[in-house]
Amino acid sequence: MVPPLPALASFAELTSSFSNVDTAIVVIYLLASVAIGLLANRFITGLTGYLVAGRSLGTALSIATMTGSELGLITVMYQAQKGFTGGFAALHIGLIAGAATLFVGLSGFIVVGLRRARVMTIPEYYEQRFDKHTRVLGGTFLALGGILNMGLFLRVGSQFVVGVTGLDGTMLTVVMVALLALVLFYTVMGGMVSVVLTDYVQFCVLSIGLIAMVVLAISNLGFDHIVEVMRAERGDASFDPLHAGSGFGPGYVAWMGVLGLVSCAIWPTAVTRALASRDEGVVRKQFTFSSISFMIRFLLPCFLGIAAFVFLFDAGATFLEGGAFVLPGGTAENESILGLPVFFRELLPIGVLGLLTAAMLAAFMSTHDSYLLCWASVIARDIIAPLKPSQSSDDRQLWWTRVFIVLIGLYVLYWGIVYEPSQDVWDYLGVTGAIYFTGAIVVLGCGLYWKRASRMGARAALWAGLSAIVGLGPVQEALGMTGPNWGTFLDGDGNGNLDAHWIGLGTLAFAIIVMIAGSLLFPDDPDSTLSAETEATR
Amino acid sequence: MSTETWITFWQVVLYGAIAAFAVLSVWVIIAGFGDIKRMFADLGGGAGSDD
Repeated sequence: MVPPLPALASFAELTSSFSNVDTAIVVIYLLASVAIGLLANRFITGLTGYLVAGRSLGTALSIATMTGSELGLITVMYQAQKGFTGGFAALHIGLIAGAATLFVGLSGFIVVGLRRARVMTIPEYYEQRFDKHTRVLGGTFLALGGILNMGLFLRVGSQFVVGVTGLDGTMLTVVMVALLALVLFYTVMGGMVSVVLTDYVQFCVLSIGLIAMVVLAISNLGFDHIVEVMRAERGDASFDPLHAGSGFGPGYVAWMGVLGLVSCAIWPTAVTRALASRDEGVVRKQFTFSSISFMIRFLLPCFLGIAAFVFLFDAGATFLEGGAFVLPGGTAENESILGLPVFFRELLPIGVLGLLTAAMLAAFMSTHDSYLLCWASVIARDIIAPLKPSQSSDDRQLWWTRVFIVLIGLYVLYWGIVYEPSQDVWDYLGVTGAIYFTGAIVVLGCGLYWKRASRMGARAALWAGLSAIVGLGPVQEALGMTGPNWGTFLDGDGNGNLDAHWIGLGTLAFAIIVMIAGSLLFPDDPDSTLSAETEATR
Repeated sequence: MSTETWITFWQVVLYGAIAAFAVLSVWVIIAGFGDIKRMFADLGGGAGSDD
């Protein structure tokens, strides 16, 4: 049994509430965000300005905005949850993500081909390479997977606010409504220009804040003490991601390799930055340098989650099955995802807590605005416009994009209230994202690098990707897949469900097979390919 | 790998990543500000084309 550090032994002595100074800092930041939306609106003169900021981003700003979007509060929260429940072994997620992004930056894999095609969205490329039907199908699955994927963002972000301020849990819905209203306002107003500006501000605040938090955590707890506690409480497996008892294992690590690759080269919110870049050289530099931020966005929050666990252990918290915990002197059971905000609330002094909360809200908003803009523009540009030519003018697409930003926002609010996640947030995100990206990575990869790829193969691969939805716990229950003994290899966490990473890997293999088989069995007619290309370039 | 090796490995990864990110952040913050000024100049001049 490792003794807690004397300085942290009394939880009550450490408790600090969210002060008026902290509140003032947060309010000033939020008002500044509204001002940015109004300012950006003055520069929006057309669809290219609204969706890709006129393709005028330089390398440094591209890195800032890509990091700003992908290093959201949701990322910080779910990676901290992974560190909280999985220990040091969870750090492999960040390491693999960094390596995958470096590979994409050096090779230009997919992103350079897309930038060269001068498209604004990924489904637009499907039409250039295949046909309009494939574009609409790809756009539909992209919107479905993406919108489901961001379903928990608002809830988790609001959980952070409630946790860090010490608000009553019943205030969660009120916080969700307030945050959503703010994000909707400036995204509808300013489009990508507003997104880029808030991303830049967020990068400045959050990069300094994250590094400072890690330094603070290490200086307060001590790296050796953190290691000692994790080893005593979680065992040697909490350092080795390949160890069967770590909660990860080889299958999970392989799945992280896939996620690392798709999250930078396929995931539309990241790819949009490549499409908004000035030229191909900027795209390569952007991804090469961003490999550091793609690693950091997982690595540092994950380490902070580990530190939160050690901090709560030192303070005498009781840990329950699945990572939930009860604070000393309390009776309420807290979800594992609340470990980080409670850690912040208890550790940080007045003023610093306000600054950090503002930084986290910045992270929350910059991710929301990017995602809302991305999915709404896909629906307007890749589903409505191709199906209804009367709606394809720039003005109508702008109008539909703004309408769907609001509608998706309302859905996110609804989903945040009704959906009870039965798995870690990160695993939920992996599965919902896989509905889109397992098909998309195959279609894009083959479309760009395999001449014989056909539209039938592409459509079949997109449909195959849809089967990843089986990875969601409630879907497995609805299909009667829970209950049988899958064994520790296929059901590592022993919850009776097939592990999501095996379903993801299986779906990817399925999509590859049907793409190849479909393309070889049903090759494109050269005449119709030519006419599709002509139609796409009109 | 032994547990001791894993611990050393994660320590090196963590400290190395923090150092690299600190350098990257300083550069992005300074150069990014210049990029913003250029972006507004481009947008103001209507450089973006609806291609």
